[in-house]
Amino acid sequence: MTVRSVRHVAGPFFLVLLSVPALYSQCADTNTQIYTATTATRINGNQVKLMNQTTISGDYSNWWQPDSNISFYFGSTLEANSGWQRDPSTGGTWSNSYSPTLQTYGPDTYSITAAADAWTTYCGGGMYFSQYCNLYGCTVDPPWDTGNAITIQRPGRPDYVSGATHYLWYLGGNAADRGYNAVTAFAPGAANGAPEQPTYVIVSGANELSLSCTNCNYPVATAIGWASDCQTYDVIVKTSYSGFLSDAFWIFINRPWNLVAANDQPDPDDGWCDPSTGPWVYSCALYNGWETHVNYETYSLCATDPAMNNYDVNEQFPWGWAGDPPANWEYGGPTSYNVAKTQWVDDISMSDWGAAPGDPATCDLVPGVWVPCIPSFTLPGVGPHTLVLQAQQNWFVGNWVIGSGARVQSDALQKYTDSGWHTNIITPNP
Amino acid sequence: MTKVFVILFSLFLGACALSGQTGAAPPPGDPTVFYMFLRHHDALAQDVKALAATDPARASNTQVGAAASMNLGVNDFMRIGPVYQQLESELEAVNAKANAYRDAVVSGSTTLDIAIIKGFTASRNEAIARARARLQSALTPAGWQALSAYIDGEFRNGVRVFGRTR
Repeated sequence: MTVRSVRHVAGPFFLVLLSVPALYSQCADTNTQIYTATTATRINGNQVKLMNQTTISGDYSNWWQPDSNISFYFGSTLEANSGWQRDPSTGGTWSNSYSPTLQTYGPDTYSITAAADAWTTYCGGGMYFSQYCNLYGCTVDPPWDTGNAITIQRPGRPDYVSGATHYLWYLGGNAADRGYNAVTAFAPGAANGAPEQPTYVIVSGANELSLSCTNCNYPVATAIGWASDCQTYDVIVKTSYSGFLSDAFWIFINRPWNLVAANDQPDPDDGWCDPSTGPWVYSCALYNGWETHVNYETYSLCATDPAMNNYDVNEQFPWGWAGDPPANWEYGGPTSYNVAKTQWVDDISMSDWGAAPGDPATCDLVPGVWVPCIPSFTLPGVGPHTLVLQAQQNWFVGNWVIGSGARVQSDALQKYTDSGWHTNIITPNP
Repeated sequence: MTKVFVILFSLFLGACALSGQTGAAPPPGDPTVFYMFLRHHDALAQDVKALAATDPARASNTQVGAAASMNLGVNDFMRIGPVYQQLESELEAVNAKANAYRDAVVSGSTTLDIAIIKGFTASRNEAIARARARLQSALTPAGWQALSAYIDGEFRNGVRVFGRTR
């Protein structure tokens, strides 16, 4: 590399060489010209090539060695300078370039400036073409500077595919549940000049979201976890164009979170037992026994949002029922409900179907073999109030299948001689 | 009188300095511009080649991007390299003769004959013209049309020419 602190000292040469033009006139003629090309090319999504070529053409091209000094600017900041560099051979083309990585620098204007010249030792001593040109008049007065630039915008953020859900719910592995979706699809944003197909990158929150593919245009996105809090957009998805990352796509993933005690309400299927505005737990007589309603609403991570509606809820008894001998009450399995509105009921009962109040309580712990219940159940409020059966109970929202969905509560479901009850409630309990 | 000359000379230098930053783009069809374009293409192709060994996916993306930068598809982009290689060898042959002739002139063993060095220039331009024709044949018609527009348009606009006036 040749670095010259003083260039284009045309004045003194002009005076000296005017007296001996014959010696130098054989080094160039009006057909001998410097060509200098600067290009700023986006060679892939993450790189630009800022290149200069300097060549000398024409009759005396073999007398000269092209010479250039290039600079790379990011915005208005000088990032690199080559210093003056020269083709070691004559008659060739000197190329020099910078290939900055966009992810390193970011979006802005990438510029190259180049000063071009040529050098000869065949003209009675070394001299520059610019000096020589000054002797005879130049088409353009040196210094011979050129430049080029390319402005880079960061690729636009990915987004939901048009028509796909724009609100993700974690549903415990279920893709969708009535009005709630755990699955959507993404589309890339504007490439802004990046030529290749992008790849998707989950920059943060990979424990909350999975993508069906990353090297594709329209991945299916599935919520596999949930946000740390309401309206906390802790999933960040970007598209990468050979490493140049797009703007961020921030995603909040909600989930069914907790149960809240609700007032008993009239139920078209069970209206005889429902007051117009009952308490959280309400019991009434059913045949010769009892029925208890335990009322809930389901809320999401956003406690101030309205209660969820139009979804499935199911209960699970992970360890079955437990009762102290000689209790012989039969017990049913867990069930699922579709919650069409916001409020729903755990309907607990113990009675003999079709029996009249006061009839003896009979049980068929062995199906079809009816024996007197031990202890006997009674109408609500008729003592004694004795605990007979108990089961660990988990509540799941977002799935009809028993034990599937997003768990929102665990409790102990209890059957007493005269009513049912939920105790040891833990909600939320993900 | 001297003062007036100094003022006029200063104005002349100032005008030169102002115009010196811009230069002029060569005319469409300029053979040197075509040759510089081939070198530009070769530089991008070398980048692709270098990446292919270490990062094939990125090399592929770079090839797509480099082709797109000159309004080409990848297939047409790849057809340019052989044309450049052949031209380069032809120019090397001309340059070897031109260098030998120059050395003879400089050493005083022969007298400079302008017609001879103009002959070298003509040989170079003819080689470039042949390369241009080969490239046109090698590319698809749409590719050639797009590439011609790029060379004589965007690429040429990035070229500046400087030289003597007498």
